[in-house]
Amino acid sequence: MKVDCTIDGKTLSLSLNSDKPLSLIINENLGAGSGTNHCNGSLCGLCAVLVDGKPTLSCLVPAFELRGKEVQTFDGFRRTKAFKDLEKAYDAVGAYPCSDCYEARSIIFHSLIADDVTDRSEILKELSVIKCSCMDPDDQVAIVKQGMAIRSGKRVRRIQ
Amino acid sequence: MAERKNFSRYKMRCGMLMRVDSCGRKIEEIELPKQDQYTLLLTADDIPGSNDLAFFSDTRPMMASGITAYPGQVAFALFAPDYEIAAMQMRSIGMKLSEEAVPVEHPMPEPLEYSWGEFTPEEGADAGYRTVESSYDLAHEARQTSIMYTVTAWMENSRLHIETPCEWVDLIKSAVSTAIKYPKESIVVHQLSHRSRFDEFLIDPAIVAAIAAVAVIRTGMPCEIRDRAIFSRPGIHVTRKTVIDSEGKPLSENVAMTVDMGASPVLAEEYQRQAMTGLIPPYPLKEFRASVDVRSSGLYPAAFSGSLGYSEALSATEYHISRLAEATEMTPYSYRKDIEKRRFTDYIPGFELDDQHKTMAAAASASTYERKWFANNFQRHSFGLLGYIKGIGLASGTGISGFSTTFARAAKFRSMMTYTQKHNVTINTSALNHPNMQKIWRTLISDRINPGQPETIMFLDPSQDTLDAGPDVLSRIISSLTPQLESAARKLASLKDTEPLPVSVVFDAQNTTLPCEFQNAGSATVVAEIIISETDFRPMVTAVWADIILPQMLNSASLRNAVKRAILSTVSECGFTIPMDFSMHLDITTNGADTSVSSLSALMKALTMGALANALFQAVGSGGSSLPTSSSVLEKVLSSHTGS
Repeated sequence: MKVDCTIDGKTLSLSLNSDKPLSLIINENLGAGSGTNHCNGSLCGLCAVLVDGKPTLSCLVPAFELRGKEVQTFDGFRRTKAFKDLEKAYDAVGAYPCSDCYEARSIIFHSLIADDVTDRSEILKELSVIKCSCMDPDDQVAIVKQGMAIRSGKRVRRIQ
Repeated sequence: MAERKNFSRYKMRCGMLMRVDSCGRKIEEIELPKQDQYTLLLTADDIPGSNDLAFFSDTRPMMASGITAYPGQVAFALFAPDYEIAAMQMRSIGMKLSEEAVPVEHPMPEPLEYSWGEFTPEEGADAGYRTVESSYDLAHEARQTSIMYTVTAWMENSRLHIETPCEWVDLIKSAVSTAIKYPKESIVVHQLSHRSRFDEFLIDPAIVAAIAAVAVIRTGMPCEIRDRAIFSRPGIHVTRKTVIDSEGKPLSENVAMTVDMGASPVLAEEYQRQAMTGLIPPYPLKEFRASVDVRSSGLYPAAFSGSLGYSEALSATEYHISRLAEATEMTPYSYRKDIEKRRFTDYIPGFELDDQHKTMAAAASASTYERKWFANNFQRHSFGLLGYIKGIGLASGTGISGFSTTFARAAKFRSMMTYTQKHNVTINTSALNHPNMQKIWRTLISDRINPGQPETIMFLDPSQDTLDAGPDVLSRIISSLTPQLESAARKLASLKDTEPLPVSVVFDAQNTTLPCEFQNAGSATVVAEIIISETDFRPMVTAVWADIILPQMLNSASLRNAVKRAILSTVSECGFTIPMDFSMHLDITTNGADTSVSSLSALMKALTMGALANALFQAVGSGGSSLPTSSSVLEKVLSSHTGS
């Protein structure tokens, strides 16, 4: 089937099987460098991308659901100012995800910061979708709060 | 480094691997559908060179040839224009294995034995002697993880390029070179970034790369294979008997460790040396007898899993020390405070345990260990139907790094540092997959040769002349190479003023002149507090306290992250879950000693396992303290306590 969607700002018209998962589309149809894990639906959480701005596990999104949707992978996200702010939050807290889950966890951190989620249990519940056990829960909460502080600092400067 | 060629996916082949699930079975028949010109099926017979992967002195058949050598061995690979076609074709292939198993023999080393002294009970005094026994188990485990990796091979002019995550570039080159009879110098390896918690990317990518290279030769197209990383850990069983006197002082000890390395073991002798180092206890003994017996079985081959025996053996020793403490009615912390000095052995030098005492005091105080230990023990048998299902465990030990001296001398992993005529320093080494570490090395080297000019220190890009620094396992690239680079820099700083330029120093990637097999570096203590859910028997770790004293700290943030990851990974590996209110308290200090850097990951793994096993023992008793644990195991143990 033919699927028209936008991935990382590029409008694409893809010809592929209707049930092909988004994680494989990113891996195979977008060329090298757009790597995201594909666990075949075993919910490892490492394939998180933003679909219409919402964090989504790409291995659970079939191609037919992509029609008209806007997808942002980590490759697209890393070019944004929000990612630079997130990197600052990592540095400020002194903790960062491992190379396995860096991409997926960064995307979920970003969405939590964007949604102003401050409740510890809600933050950890959202992040528990990633099965990689490389980060201390306290550090994860601190990163989200630090990210919000960096973002609100910018807002204050803009108002001034 | 050569750039990855951006070839079209329409002009390449995608491969899938079919693995067998049993060892020692004869492949009686492979039923193939009609092949078209776009698909390619590869079996062991299609490998133009050798089918054996050489790993030091061991070999492992890459693809099954006639008889399956180990479960998880690749039976065949299927290449198609895309993965969907490959998957569809794969479903229509039938493979028949014999029902009767053919015994597969593997050469195994003799058990390694080590002993000192002799203890004969004094006449008339033996009435006060007691024997404390313990048994420590860690089950063999092998499974495909959810981490997918891709190995790509392509030919450009006469050079064969391999792109893969890997922990040892030279092994990839050797495997590909022997499989397709291609000169090693013409193989270029592009390393992909990866995190190898359990050394998943040490051996398997070499086999996959060799198969992809054969496909490139056969199809004339770029080929890639997608596969899942495999976690594999050996099974261990440690039994220990200690004779103690009436005051609880250990007099003689007998330890036997049996290791199940699955089919086709690798580095069994090095495993024995590392394990023996962990088995030697810190307390003084009149007599000590230990043996490490490595055996093979029909399970998936196990080798490295973040450690090569030291962590597992040290955790078993820590577990036993707590049993000794309980036998003398002391807390493990109080019992250990009286042990002042470790004796010199062939495996680890003798040293004062002052630093270890400091870490124990700090971790015990921060966690209020003694109070919790007494409270848990007191209430264990008198709290509710299931007992008081909480536990706290302590483990303390010293770190070692890299391979043993015997192994390092035989392996001859080298690097070279040159002071050029342009007054720059170049370093020729294969240890290039730690960009952050290279920044630290630049500063360390420039401080000794060109102070304040780290930009004059250059790491040479990989080429056919690159010297092999060995595999990136046991944190050895960071812990063993760093002091060697510092030592070479000191030597070069004096040579550059006396010798004509350019002047070079070739040095071992690891210290090969140590008097013992390993050098102690760094002390640490870990305290873990656990609780077992009363509703579903899920074991949970509620808090971990870790206190570490190191000779030096190269990068505080990286180190803290590495320690936390090692602890959290081990917690998961041991079957425990991490609740939302989990807390971790970490304190790292330096003592400024001029010794090597410790392999902290292996030490933290050992101490976390030891602390968890001790906590589990306190919570459920000896019946349920084997690792990894699970809710089903604990349900059985706790049900047997209540008699239901």
